[in-house]
Amino acid sequence: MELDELYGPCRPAGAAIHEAELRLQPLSLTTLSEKTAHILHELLAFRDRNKLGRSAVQAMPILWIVLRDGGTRFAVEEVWDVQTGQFIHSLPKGRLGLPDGRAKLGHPALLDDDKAARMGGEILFDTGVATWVITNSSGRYGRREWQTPAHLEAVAGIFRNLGIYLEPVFDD
Amino acid sequence: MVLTLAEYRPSDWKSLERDIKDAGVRERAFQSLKLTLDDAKPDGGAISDELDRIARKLTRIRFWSWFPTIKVAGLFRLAEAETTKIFAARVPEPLATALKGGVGVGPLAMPIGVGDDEVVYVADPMLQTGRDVRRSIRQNLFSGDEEYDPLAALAKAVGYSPTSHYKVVSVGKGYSVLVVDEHGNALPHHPVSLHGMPLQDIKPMPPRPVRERTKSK
Repeated sequence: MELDELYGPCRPAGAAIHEAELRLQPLSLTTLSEKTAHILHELLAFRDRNKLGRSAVQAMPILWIVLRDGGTRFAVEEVWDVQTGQFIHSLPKGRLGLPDGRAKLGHPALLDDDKAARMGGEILFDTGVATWVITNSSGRYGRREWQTPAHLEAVAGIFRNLGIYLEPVFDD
Repeated sequence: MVLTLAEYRPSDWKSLERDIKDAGVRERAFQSLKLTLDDAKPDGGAISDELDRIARKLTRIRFWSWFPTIKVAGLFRLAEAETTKIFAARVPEPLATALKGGVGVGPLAMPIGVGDDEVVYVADPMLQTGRDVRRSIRQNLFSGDEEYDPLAALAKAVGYSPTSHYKVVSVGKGYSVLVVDEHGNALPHHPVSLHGMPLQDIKPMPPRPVRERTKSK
């Protein structure tokens, strides 16, 4: 099956991109592969292993994005100082206010110069159902008009093929 | 503990959609919206995107239909103008109109609701309820088929003074401020005019006499 059909066409962001997202990339940015899948796997498993893991990982959404060539990247959401270009901290889910001069690096920052992607969203632990879920929560790359639950299912398949089981939740 | 809407996980949204018929759930969600708006500082990037997601989501689950426009619009009175703009682009009418009017109006006045006759009106943010204003509109507003500018109609309804650029009406619990031009035509929420008049300088007009209701025999 063609990549366009599987994950949707590779198109520019569906909403504005912050200036910082154009020139900075998260420290945690990782390309998903057979070699790196264990990092994500261990991170998700760390939650179940002990109280520290639960506290540290559960609140932190992981951003993912599918590139033009079908490759996938992931990173945690990070806050950077826009002047100095320094990493400040990762961001727990729910923070909507930052001090001046700080920027939250969202999905566009996971891409290189070409800010087009096939699909993007989040991986997070849903406490209500006690499951790791994968969503299309990205206004820039996850809720463009042509995107469907089937695309998200296909992305969940990329992770599943590497032993990472995520429940897809399509947010229309 | 009440979560902000940005902290909601997919199952929280599902529960809200399912249980919104319950008054307690509704109230908690309303408080969550309040916390969200208080916290939000849109950045034109990831944070704006998240706010847009919340606005879409609330609209999709028909959240707004459970609350009077006036109550929701009142929540936005202290929100960042950009936050209000993001929500105004997603919420249904008449709330969208009320919010669009509020963008950039400043601290003295903002639209707080839409009356039964689709009239957008402005009132001082200290006003806790628009019920009195609505009653006043209902009693005075033109009715019939003639075409009219709702704000001009409201100006006439509350008896504007052609010599003043402001009309201040006592509505019992606070002031309602209506901005009019030199001809007495209501202006669509002119921020400069409003900033030109500090709240403490506004003198309320005497309250309107309360009409006795005729007792039915």
